[in-house]
Amino acid sequence: MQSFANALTTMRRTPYQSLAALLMVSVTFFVGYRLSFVLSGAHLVLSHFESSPQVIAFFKLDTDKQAMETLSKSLTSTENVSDVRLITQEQALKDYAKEYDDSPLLLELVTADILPASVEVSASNVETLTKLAEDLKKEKIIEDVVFQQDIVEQLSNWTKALRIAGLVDVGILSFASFLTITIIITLKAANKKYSVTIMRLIGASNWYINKPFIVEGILYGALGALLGWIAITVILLYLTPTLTTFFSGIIAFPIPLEFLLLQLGAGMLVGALLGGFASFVATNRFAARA
Amino acid sequence: MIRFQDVSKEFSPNKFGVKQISFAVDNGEFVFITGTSGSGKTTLMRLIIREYAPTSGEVSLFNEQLATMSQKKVSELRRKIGVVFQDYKLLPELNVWENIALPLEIVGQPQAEIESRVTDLLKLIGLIEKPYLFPSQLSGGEAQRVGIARALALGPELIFADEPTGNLDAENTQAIVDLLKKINQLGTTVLFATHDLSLTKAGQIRILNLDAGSLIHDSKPKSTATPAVKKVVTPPESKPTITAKKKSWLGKLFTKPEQTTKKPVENPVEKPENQPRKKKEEKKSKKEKATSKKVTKQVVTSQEALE
Repeated sequence: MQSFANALTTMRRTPYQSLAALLMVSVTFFVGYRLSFVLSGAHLVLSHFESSPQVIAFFKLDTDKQAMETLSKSLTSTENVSDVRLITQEQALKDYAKEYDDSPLLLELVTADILPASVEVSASNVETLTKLAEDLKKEKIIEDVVFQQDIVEQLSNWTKALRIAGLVDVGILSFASFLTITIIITLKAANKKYSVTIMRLIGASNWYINKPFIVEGILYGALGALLGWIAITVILLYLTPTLTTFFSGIIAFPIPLEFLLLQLGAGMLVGALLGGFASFVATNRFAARA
Repeated sequence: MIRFQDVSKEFSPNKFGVKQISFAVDNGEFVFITGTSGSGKTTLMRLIIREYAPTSGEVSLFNEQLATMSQKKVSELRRKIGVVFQDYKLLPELNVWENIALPLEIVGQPQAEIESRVTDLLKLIGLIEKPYLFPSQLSGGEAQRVGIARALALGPELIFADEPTGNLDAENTQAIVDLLKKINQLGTTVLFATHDLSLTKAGQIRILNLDAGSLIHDSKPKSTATPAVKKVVTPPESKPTITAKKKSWLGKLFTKPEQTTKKPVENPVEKPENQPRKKKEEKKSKKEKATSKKVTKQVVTSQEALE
């Protein structure tokens, strides 16, 4: 507790240095938290599209029901296929009627025999769907295959790019935070060189001398992570109504509190480790030079 | 307790801090180390606290060779030595209280014990009214007394006072000398480095005289051969009585009034002309003790030595 109090006192007595360290760490964690939201969101969006019926194969109008069921069964037994749904002509008409129930004129013009039966296939990954689409196109009873391959692939590519770019950003910012804390702690230790020398002369151990600096570094990391989390959470809450509309049916808002608290806990732990390691390096460098 | 055997410290070729020095100091001794500036007094101190390692020769302290000591052991050794520096070496960002408490915090004393000891030490040095002043707000004499209090905080077995009166006026100088003599009478070994020969005149005190790094005179030389590095392990019960002595003076210094003996402590360094004033103040002090029950007789006597 004494070291904690000493570290807080030192931070208060050098407000600009402390502010610089805190801001740098806060920005790092703000970007880190934002990245985690973006990646989690992108994962959910991608999962949504991947788990939705992605390949729709329309049967020829004269295809008999048994042939449709045989194909449907063979698709169900295919590896990585998560769901197969056979839509008969009657079912297709029902769906059509449901979708256009506000346009009676349209409904009068359409009958079941002009709507083709179809089979909707979902899979756990894009690769399976691509292969399925190719196979279905070769079936004689299939008239047409609709596969939104490009959309899913683009989304997947964007997610990968976002992940890489985000990690690079966070990596660079983390390194900048590490350097900032190291430099500030080294400066503070250098400012206290006289006191450190005296403490050594009267029998202080290295740990006794270094402990307040290491605690200070841990505080920078943990407090910076907390400030970053507060900032991102406030922005998220502000944007929640907009995001709810935008991601309707794909991501449920508001974000669960457990997720936010998990994020905070993990962030503070990583921040404390980052700050502790940076100050440990700083005190060791100082001890080697002093 | 202290043994220097042919010790030299060479800073650069043919530039010695100390040169071929041999001497030994027993437990409980008071030794003046004299010599002009640059004669090697501070180097001697730095060798004793292992701030410097000797270029040649052997330094042993408390029957342990300093040369082979690990860093951890050096820290422990330094806690047994109270060093009073000429330039006080108080931590500027800490106030008087915190400076005195620092050695106690370093060894992890409980807060209650720290408060009790620091209070007693503040009374001892007569700065009980100024615990929250910073070193920059103290006079030279006050700062030096804080330095002495800090050196005493852990009840060291050895005190090395390196020119403690170098920056002080005659009155403060005498107060510091008296205080260190008092501490020595309580069992602590004191090495007092000074270039002021007038301080060494009173009493039959051992003097080591240094000149250009060499020991040119030892008024009471002791053999440096006997304790050497002891090969035979001494049983705990037959070890020197420094611990008992230390406990004794610490006990007197830090014990509350109800625990102290009623017998007044003799003060041989007291000047005769001070006696009437002393008696008057003792009377006043006894009255205070009756109400507060905090000040020990030893503290009062030592305060008087300072006043």
